[in-house]
This record gives sequence, C-alpha cells and structure tokens, in this order.
Amino acid sequence: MKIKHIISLSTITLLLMTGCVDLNYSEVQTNDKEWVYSMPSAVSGLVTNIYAHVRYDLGEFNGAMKASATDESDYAISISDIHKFYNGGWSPMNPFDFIWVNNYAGIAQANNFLEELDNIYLSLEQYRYNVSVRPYENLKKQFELFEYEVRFLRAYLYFELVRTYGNVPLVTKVLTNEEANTLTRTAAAEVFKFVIDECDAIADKLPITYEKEPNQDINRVNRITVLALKARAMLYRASPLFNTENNPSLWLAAAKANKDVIDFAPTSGVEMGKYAELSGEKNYANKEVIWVRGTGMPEGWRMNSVENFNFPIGVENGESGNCPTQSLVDSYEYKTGENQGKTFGEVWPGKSINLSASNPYKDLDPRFAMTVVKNGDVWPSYTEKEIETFEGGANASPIYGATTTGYYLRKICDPSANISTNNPSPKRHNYIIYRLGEFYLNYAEAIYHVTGSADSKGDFDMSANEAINVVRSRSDVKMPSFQGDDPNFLERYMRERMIELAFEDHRFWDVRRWKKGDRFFASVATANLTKSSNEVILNRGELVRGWNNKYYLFPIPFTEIQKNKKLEQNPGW
Amino acid sequence: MIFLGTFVQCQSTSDHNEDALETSITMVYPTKVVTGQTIFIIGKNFNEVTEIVLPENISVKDFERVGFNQLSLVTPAGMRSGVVTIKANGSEYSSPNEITAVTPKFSTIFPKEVKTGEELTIKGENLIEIQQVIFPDNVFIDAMHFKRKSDTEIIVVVPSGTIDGEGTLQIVALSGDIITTSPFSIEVTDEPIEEGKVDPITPNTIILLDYEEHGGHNGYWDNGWGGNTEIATDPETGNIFLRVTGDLNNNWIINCNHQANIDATWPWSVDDVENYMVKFDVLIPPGVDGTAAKGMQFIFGDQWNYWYGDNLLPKTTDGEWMTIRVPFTHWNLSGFLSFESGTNGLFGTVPAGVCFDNLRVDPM
Repeated sequence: MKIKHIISLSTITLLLMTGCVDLNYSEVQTNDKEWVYSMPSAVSGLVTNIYAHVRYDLGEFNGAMKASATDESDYAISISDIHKFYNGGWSPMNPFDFIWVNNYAGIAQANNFLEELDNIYLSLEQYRYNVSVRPYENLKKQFELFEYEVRFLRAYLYFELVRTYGNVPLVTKVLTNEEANTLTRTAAAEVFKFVIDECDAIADKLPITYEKEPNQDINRVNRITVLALKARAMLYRASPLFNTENNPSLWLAAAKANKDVIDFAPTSGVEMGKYAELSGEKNYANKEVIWVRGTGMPEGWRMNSVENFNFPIGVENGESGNCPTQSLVDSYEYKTGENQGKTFGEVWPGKSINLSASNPYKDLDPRFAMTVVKNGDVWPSYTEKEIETFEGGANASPIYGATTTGYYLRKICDPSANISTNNPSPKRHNYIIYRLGEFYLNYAEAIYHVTGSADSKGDFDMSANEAINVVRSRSDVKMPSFQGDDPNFLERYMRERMIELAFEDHRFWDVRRWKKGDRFFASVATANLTKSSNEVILNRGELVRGWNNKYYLFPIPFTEIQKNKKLEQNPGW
Repeated sequence: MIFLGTFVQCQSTSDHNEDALETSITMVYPTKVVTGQTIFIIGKNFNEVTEIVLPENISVKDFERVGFNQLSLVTPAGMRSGVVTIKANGSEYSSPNEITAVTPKFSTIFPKEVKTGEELTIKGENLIEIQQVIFPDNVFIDAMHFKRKSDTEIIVVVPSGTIDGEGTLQIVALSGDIITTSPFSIEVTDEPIEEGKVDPITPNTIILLDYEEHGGHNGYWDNGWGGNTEIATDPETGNIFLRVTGDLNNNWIINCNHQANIDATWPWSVDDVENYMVKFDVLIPPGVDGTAAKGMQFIFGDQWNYWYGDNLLPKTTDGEWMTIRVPFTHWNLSGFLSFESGTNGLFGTVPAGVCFDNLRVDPM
C-alpha cells in the first residue's frame, strides 16, 4: 500500500511570544542554539515545527470555513467572524491576518534552519559512531532531505502569501528587527518566480515515495508534491488577478506544469480514486491524494470538531455550521433522464418548487449527494432520523443556529462519527491539500486559454475536454463527457470546478484569481422550505452580501504598516 | 518536547537603525558547489551591488536579485574554492563562509548483476546535481525519475529497452560532463508485475473491451463465448467485468469485436507498436491459483500471432484487481498494428473464479 503524506504535528510545541510583531521574525530562542543543533531529534523537531505552519481549513474560523465567505455555503451562526468577509467588518484593523502571522513565522523558522545547515550537518557527524541513538545511516538519510523539505515549505508558505496579498516582502534570511522595519513589498511576479524556481531546484532531490525512507513515520513532502505546488502556483500566476496583461505564455507554462503532475502521477502511485473516499477517516489512503495535512496529536488523531460544527442543529451537539447554498445546488447537472446535461438551476428556475409533487434531486450528479444533505435525508446515519429543513422542522428555523440555506454539509464530515455526549466516536480527519483531480482541472483551464478550444490539444496530448472527462468519469461519478468545442466552455468549466472541489478551500481563491467576485459572491441563492399539511415547498431566497473589488487581496495588517511605513497598503484598503 | 519560542522586543518604528541599511553578506549557500549550480548570496542592502567576484577573481555581472536580501548566480566553469565578494558603491563585502568547488565522482555500482525492473545503486561523491543517467543503448533516465538522489548515492530502476549483457552507465553532471561507471551485467526480463496495482485508464488508452455497455453491445455480446463465463457487476462501484464461472480449458476467455459500436475518441491502430503494451486487469479470488492459467494467447485484429504461454497470471492478487502488462516487443513487433477489424481477445486455460476487465493498449 502506498504511504500517504500526512503531516503529523504537535509533537513539538511552538511557543510564540510576540510583544510587537515585525513579521514575527526573531533569532531569540528559549533553548541554546548549540544545544538544539547538537541533538538529531531536536533538529528533526525544528523541521516538524515548520511543517506545523501548513494551515488547514476544516473550519479555521471557529468552525466556519472560508467556503462560507463564498457562494458554496453560508455559516449558520450569525455572530461568526466569517461574515466579516462581506459585511464591512473586514479592514486593516481587523485584517484576518492569520496567513500573514502564521506564514511569516514559518518562513522565519525555515530561514533560520537553512542558515544553520552547516551546524546541522555537523551535529549529524557527531553520531556517526554512536549507534545508541539510532543507526547513523538512517539519520543521514533523514537529514539529507531536511534541507529540501524546508525549502519546499518556505516556497509553499510564500505561495499562500502571494495569492493572499499580492506583493509581499520576500525574505530568505533571519532578520533583525531593524531589517524587518525597512522591508518593502516584492512584486507578486517575483514572488511567484521564487516559488517556481525553488520547486525546479528541489523536486528531483526529494524521493518519489517514502516507502523505503527511515522517516516515513512522519509523512513528508515528496517529489510529486513539489510538482503540485509549482503547477498550482503557475495557474495562479497565469490567472487574471496576477496576469494583468493576459500574457499567453503564462497559460502555456501553467498547462505544462499541470500536465507534468498528471504525467508523473503513475510514477508516484497516484491515480484517480472515488469521490466518496475524499471524506472520512481513511481519505488519506485514497489513491488520488497527493498531500494531506493530518490534524491533532499523532496519538490522538481523532476528533469530532468537524462533525460538531457541521452536523445539523437538532442533532445532539450539532451546530449546523457551513450550510451549502442553493447557488451550489443549482450548479449540479443531471446525470441521466430527460434533463441530462442541464443544471438544477436551469431545470428549476422558478421561485418555488413543490418537493412533494416532484423530486428535483433525482438523477443529479452523484457528487451532489456526497456533498450536500437535503430535507428527508437520514443524517447522520446513527440518528436514524430524516433531516427536516422546512420551517418548524426538527432541524430548521426558528431554532437558533439552524440552516440559513435549506441544506446541510455532508462532504468532509465523517458519516460514521457520533457526536452525542454519551456515546461519542471521534474520527481521524485529514485535510487534503493536493489531489490529482485538481490538476486535471487546472490543466483543462490552462490549455483552453492556450488553444481557445475545448477540443484542441495544442502541443500536448490531452484536450481540455479530455482532462475534465477524467475527473467526471471516476468510478462513483461517471457523469456524461464534455464533448465538442462548446462556446460556453469556461462557464461550464467554472461550474465543474466548483462542484468537484467544493469545500476544499478552492472557491474562495478561484473566484478571486478569476476576478469574478462581483458576479459570484455579491449575493448567494438559498432555499427556504415550508410544509403545509401534505406538501413541502422550496422557495428560493437570496442572501445579499455585496462585493468590493478591494476584496481581491487582503489588507496588509495595520499593525505591520504602523511599524514599517515602507509596507504600502493594498488598493482600496 | 522542544519549546522553541520566538520573542520580539518592541522597537521604535520611526528611528531606523542605520546598520540595517549597511550592505553585508550573511552567508553563501550551498557551501559545496558544482559547475552550473545556482548559488545564493544571502545578506542585506544589495540594491547597489553591481558585481559578484567568485574565488580566483572570477567576475560575474550577470546575476539575479531575489526579493529583499538575496542574489543568485549560476556558477561558471573553472570554479574554485574560497570566499565570495560583492561590489557596491566602490566598496567590497566578503562572505563570512567559504564555498568549496567540487566535482561529481563515481566510486562503485551495485549490484553487479541486475535485471530490468530492479534497483541499481550508484555510489560516489557530490552526486546531488547529477541530471541524467544513461543506460547502454542510449536509454536515458532523467533525475526526476531517479528513485532517490543524494550527495553520495543515486538509485535508479533498470529500464526495459537497454541491452542484455555487460555495459556501463554514463552519468551526466550539471556541467554536461559525463562520468562513465565500471561495467556491470544486465539481464533483460519481461516487465515485472507490481502486485496490487491497477494502471489508470488515461486519455491515451486504446480500450479494446471494458465490458461496459456501448452502442447496444452489452453483456450478451461481450461474454467470453467459450462458456463458463458471466458478465458481473460490482455492487459497490457499478463496474462491469467478466468472471470465469467454471474451468475454461483451451477456450475463449475474452472475445469481442465491438469496435464499431464505441463512439471512441482514440484511434484503432498505432504506428509504433514497439512503444506500446497490452494490458488487462485481473482479480484472482483467495484460494484460486492463478498459475493454473496456461497456454495463453492474445488475438489482435483477428490475427492469432501473439502466443504467450504459461505464467501470464500471478499466483494470487489477494482478491484485488491488478493490471497485467505485456509489451508488444514481447513478440518482437514494431511499426504499425491495427485493432480495428475483427476480434481482439485472449484464449487459453483459466481456473474458475478469475475475473477479467479492461483489455487495452497503452503507451509504455
């Protein structure tokens, strides 16, 4: 069995004590440097600490996912911070600086590690003849990868920063406070180039798999993971937010980089898996997964917070959480029947649907049922109760915290997790960072922009249609193929991407890089269900959120600009 | 458990320390460098740097600025060991550490006798920037396809297509220099079977028979026609495949000619069959001995020229699907081969219980 790349964390506690923060850089540590670098286990711990800065969004806003700042979902708790992304509560004073703070802290640790490489290799040599610690050859094999793992992680953290803020200070050394206070922002194109150059430099130095490596216990970055970072970075660099002059060569480069991931997948043992297996306790074993981030302590991987946050109100301890929107449901196509190929929204455009007289959910794309819980579904299964999302129902308004959209979230939740107080069964959760399906979609988008045709392969051996059809033809989906040179291909592609990657922290960023915030995020459709004596009616509703183009990039935190006047603010903030 | 704390003292933000603006080099990285390698000069205030001077006074003016504090350059031929100096505003600033110019060296190779598909380890020094290994008969393996690479060893899988017999490897350094290894012996074998692995269907796959219904061709047409087979459906995935229900003795196992009924996006022929392999997926249930399958022969385009014999199937697949692969070079084929007309299939003796699916042709 292929070993997956799960980062197990928290064996080492990172203690941040920041008085005033200058990018969180400091060389001051509670442990003596010589001590740290003289201990192989401590050196290994430093690397683990940097891995710990790989974020995951299984509800990083106290249960709310960034999906709920998009048209994928709405967060049921009205006081959640997630609503600030669109209700005026977002500002340089309230900057949502979690990426800035976390990533620069990780980068500082990476820079520190790389500056100490000589000491690190010296510490290894001290153990050449000391078999009591662990076999030297095994230690050596681990140590010789650390340098490249750390460079990958630094590049990964920079990619997140550049897609969040655009221009950001690009720093590859440990800074003094004085230096930190003189930093300027590096052009986004240059930061992208750094990320891509780093990937090119390190990819062949990391192993294809860790199956024969001594440090497979903590699963780490491998070769295809590096290709994946490069490919995603190149897609972003080619997209309208960053490719302001629509340079076609950037799309071509993005197509090639994403095709490289697809072509390298068989070598890595990566292949398309089942959609249903992207959720649940064993999703890390899905063959499609390239890199996942495990959560929690290694000894106690299991937790119930994802289910606590997202199981419906009315289920003991359920908080409703991230509720899929009607906008999302409207995007699913019918797989079979007379409406095959049409979307839910196209077939049911009216203001209301009589759910008792017809079943509009029948024959929908199987991914719908694997993502969304609707009225009448038994969910979670251990309750053996049908969900009631109609007004006055067991899981609906007027109960405080009930769904605001008419639906509940199934994807990412473990259906076998029991969150009851007396009989809990916490489950292991792994956050998927990269999986093969994304790269087929990335490639489709890029090659379409190169050729202008969904059917053309350009200089490659795969058209946009063919790439998308690989995703749609997985064994538990088997949706009809994309065919022909559809003039509305991009529309259909964006829909396909929304569905396939729903609740995987893509939509928030995709709509921004496409610069389509006003179109997709300004308002979202919802469903309000009512029940009379024998009829359930779905009435369409709308949540008006508004959009401001300054939202395309996050504001630089005011506290940082206060300390360093050379850090210019992003437009509009 | 380690507590790594970072603590930043509060600083006045209006009074910048002038030292922060003074040019200096913190480090040069990496410290061991081969010709053609990119080295990074880390430090501060590089805005005015116009020239980098490498040891032995090698001047480099074609370098790159990266972000706030980094310069990078590709090391030229003739590199020597020593400190690195940068020039800015008429002043020179030297690196606190030295770089060491090294060249890749080969020491040994093992095992001395190896089969295709097996791992071969190359030992030496300064191998981390090796770009390619060339097997006899010009079979190239790029660094991206090395199993592992470090400063002291490279592990590669011996590729099919190389020679059968004694040969040497050529190791291509970043500079383009080539190092030749000591001789070793290669035995070319058929493509090894990786147990428990199913190759994906890709856009380049030519599917000959997948048992799904196409254009009216369903289980009735796709069944083996030799008796003792059934078309079965996996209740979990909906996948349709063929199951041998009783022993098949010297009879049809896979037999279909439904090419015309598939709205296929692939061609029904290849121009360079030597670069392709035929594949099918097989599932051998626990308790069934796959080696009882004997006298196997493939049929392509109605031609019975593709004898394989015994040992096409493994003893077991532990109840899981796995892909069987046979390169067309097994029959010394090259050039054009068509699957368009007549029957494509498999004939032979197979024990009851064995399941088959996805007879196909894939690029190597």
